Amino acid sequence: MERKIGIFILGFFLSFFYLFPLNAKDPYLNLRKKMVEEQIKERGIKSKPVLEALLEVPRHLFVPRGYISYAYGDRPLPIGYGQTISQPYIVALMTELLRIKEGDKVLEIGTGSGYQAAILAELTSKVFTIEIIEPLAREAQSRLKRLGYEKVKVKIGDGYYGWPEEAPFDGIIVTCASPYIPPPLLEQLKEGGRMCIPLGPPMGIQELVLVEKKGGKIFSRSILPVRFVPMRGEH
Amino acid sequence: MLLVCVLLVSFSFLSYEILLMRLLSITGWSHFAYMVISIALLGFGAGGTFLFLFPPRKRNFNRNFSLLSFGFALSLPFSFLFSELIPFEPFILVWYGKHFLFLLGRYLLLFLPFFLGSLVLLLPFLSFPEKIPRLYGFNLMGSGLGALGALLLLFLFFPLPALFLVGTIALGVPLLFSFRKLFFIFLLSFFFSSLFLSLLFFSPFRLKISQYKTLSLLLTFPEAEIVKEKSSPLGLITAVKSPSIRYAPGLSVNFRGEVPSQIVILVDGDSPSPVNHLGKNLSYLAYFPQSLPYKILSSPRVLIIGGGGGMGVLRALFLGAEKVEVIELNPQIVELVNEDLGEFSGRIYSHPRVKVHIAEGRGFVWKRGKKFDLIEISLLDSFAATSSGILSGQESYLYTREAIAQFLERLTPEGVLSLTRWAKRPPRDEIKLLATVIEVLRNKSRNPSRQIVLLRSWGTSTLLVKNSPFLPPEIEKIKKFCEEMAFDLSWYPGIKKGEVNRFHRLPQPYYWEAARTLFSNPERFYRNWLFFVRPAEDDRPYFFHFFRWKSLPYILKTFGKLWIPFIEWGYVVLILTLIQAGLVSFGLILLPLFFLPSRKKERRRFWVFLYFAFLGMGYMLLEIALFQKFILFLSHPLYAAGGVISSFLVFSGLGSILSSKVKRVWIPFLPIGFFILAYSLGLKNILYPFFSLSPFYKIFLILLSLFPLTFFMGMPYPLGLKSLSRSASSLLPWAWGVNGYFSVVGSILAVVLSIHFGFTKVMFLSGGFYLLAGLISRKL
Repeated sequence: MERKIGIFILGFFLSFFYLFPLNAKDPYLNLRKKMVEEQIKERGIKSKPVLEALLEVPRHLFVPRGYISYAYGDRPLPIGYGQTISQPYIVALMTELLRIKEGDKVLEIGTGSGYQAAILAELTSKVFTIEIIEPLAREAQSRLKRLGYEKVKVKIGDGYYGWPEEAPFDGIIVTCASPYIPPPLLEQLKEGGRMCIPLGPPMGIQELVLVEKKGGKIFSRSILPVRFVPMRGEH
Repeated sequence: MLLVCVLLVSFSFLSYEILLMRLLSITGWSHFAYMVISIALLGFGAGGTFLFLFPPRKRNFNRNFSLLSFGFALSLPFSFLFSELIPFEPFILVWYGKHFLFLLGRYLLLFLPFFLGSLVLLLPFLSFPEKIPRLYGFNLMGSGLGALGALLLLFLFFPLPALFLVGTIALGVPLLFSFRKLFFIFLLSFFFSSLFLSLLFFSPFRLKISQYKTLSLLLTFPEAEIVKEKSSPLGLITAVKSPSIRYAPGLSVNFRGEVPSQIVILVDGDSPSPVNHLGKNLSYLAYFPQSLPYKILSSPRVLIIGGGGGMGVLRALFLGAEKVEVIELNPQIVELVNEDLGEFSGRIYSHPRVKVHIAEGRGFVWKRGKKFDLIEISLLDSFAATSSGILSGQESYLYTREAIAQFLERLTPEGVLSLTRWAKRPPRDEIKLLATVIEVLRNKSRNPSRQIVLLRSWGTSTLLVKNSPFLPPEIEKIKKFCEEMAFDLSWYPGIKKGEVNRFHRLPQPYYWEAARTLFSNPERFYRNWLFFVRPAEDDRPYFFHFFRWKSLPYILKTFGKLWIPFIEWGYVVLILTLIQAGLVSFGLILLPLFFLPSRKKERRRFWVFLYFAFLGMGYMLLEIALFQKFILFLSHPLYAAGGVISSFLVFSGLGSILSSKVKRVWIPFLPIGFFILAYSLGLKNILYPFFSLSPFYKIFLILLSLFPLTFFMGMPYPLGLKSLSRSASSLLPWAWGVNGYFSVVGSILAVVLSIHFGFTKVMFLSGGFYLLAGLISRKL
């Protein structure tokens, strides 16, 4: 009888490990794969480098401890100070819209947890990111460094002014709800460059807008209404 | 003594309800504040059921009354303070299930004072049934005074200290009642009343405002500080300053200068309205869609509805207006801009070319008076509120057919009405407004397509309506302005398809398509559009109601997991609240009563049920419908609350006291039926000639006109209870519970029915319920 019980317990554990294989290197890899398959690819994101970047960056290390189990869920997550880390799909969509290639200079406004910057850093080595809330900026800076994204330059400051010393940029990604496009950011966008920005006030629905600079003129396109939790305020 | 105690408890009960609505609007969002009404009624009904199941002994009355009134008074501030400790975040409710549990926790804590309050009020009814009419009368009068008292308290104190004051008033009951009966309760009441009074002036408590509200977000900005805070029943006003605040929704992408730092004024922690520094370069003010009318009008006389921080006024002055008249509802905002922030704002409201009227837009234009070249209504409600759809159940008399017609009447023959709204996708309120304007012009036998221009930036859309057709030189100026600013024209007389959707491209030229169909076949458009865009009218002023059940499968199918932004949540929340209130109050009020064994004398239970159900439903339908209807006449929901609710409660109380003189239960139903019919048909004609009077006189008029109806409406309930106390007194709490249940459901159902059928029909329905109650009153 005891032997049978022993076999049963052993069988149970073996089947458990068969069903949920542990990846010794990265136990969250399977969750990431599932996220990419079900949330990202299914909604039409095709860019291979973007998909690879999402598979590579350990999103669970960018969320607060209490929310790790939700890290790969189809939702934004609170990171404190009324800020969030965006829903994975929105990160993927905004990144794909920028069409970044290695060597491009990219500016991010609203570092938050640093997740978006890490995704960008998988695509190009020239990533600049600005965060207005000092504690968030410091946390993100040390997190990015710890995870091997030392090349990402983090600045504490007002994103409204952009980063004129490093301008112009091939791509600008604004991860904070903004009621209008700050003129300095338009100035710092390279001719032919692309900017992705959720327009609208901090609460409610924002319109994800793709801005392009062609022949010195600004054209924009409405991509998608989004209602992710506000990230930044009143610019 | 007992009657005074009942008056005080009723006063505190109602004051607490109103203060709680204010507090929840500040810490969270106003749609959760509406929940308070149903919690209050639920507490009331549940108290009745509790006493029915556990009937108290009359000889313990003194002890029970002292203890319960003491518990009620303490629970008033403490239940709110404890509920604030629950980390409920309405904004992330959709994503995190555990917040529903937090919501339930808060709900139960906030329910406690209402439950205890109802026990305190019901005890004397059970112990002294012979005094029911007088008890009920004092109960209603206390409630009526409580509604007015809360408004007064909000003028004098910030909401949280006011809550402690209400707690102190409620402690007056155990202080008065237990002095000779339960001395230790007297001592404890004395201690806590002293504590509450000291907290009124030296409170360590601060309101915990949601981290997702604009105020909390702004305070994370560098060097952000609150420069001034003011409070009144119209809202908690906060002025926040930071070098990083620059608010300019709709600004052209072709503006290349710097937007100067501003101070932002928030009402209840939201709805930002910027105050500009007069000394700074304000050239950016010319780069908004709202600037277009100044290109076609020279030195116009302008009327701005909704002054706020003064951005519209500044723009008008900057762009050459000869005279600017501003309507602002809240005097504290004008005071803040002109005095507290006077140095920063340059005292814009005292500018020689500016005149301020403290009024509501609709009330102002109702009066006959001078005409304007430009009337501007721009982004009055916050984007957050409109985009989330939380306003669905809220009336707005600014955008009804009648309102638009009145605005046009106040324009000079060449004048322009400029209406700016947040652009949404798929568009809804901009389209509804366009549809309204088209209908109004058509009713005036005009050609709408010649008098309308519609343009949009990436974030806002502006509708210009001219009182006469746009002329070719004006159209040239409009086209030039839009080209320079990179704004998309969606309609002007003679527009071609190739001219739309150029700068900020939408997947489809929605606005142009909508305008085309609305000009040719509006009915087809109303039927087929994803949202409800049929124009609102004064009898059904739900401009923000866009939800259509028909579109739901389409939205779910088309947008898949991204459907959340497309749902008009306000209406859904309203329906869910109705279901939830119906179910929860059924479980707490009615269900326990059904399980009790039926005794012989209780066979009449069925008729008792119907009688008190009809009364509860009829009373609430009429009260809510009249309350919403009179918002237009009184210009503000708060004045309407003060006028209508107080008159219902105080005069019904008076009616109740005098009901002991009435011999038959059915008698008051005759005048009730007559007055409901008369009010449904003719009240508007009697009152509206007095529209231009000040709110004070108008409230007086409302009180006067509602007196006969509400006086008689106070009679059927105590007469029913009195008759029941003679024939089957054990059914008293049952009657109380049934009435409570149908009042809960009726209060929410009134809004749902008004949205669909209009106030007049809801008033008729209420009359129908009273008729039925009158017919079965003999069965009691």
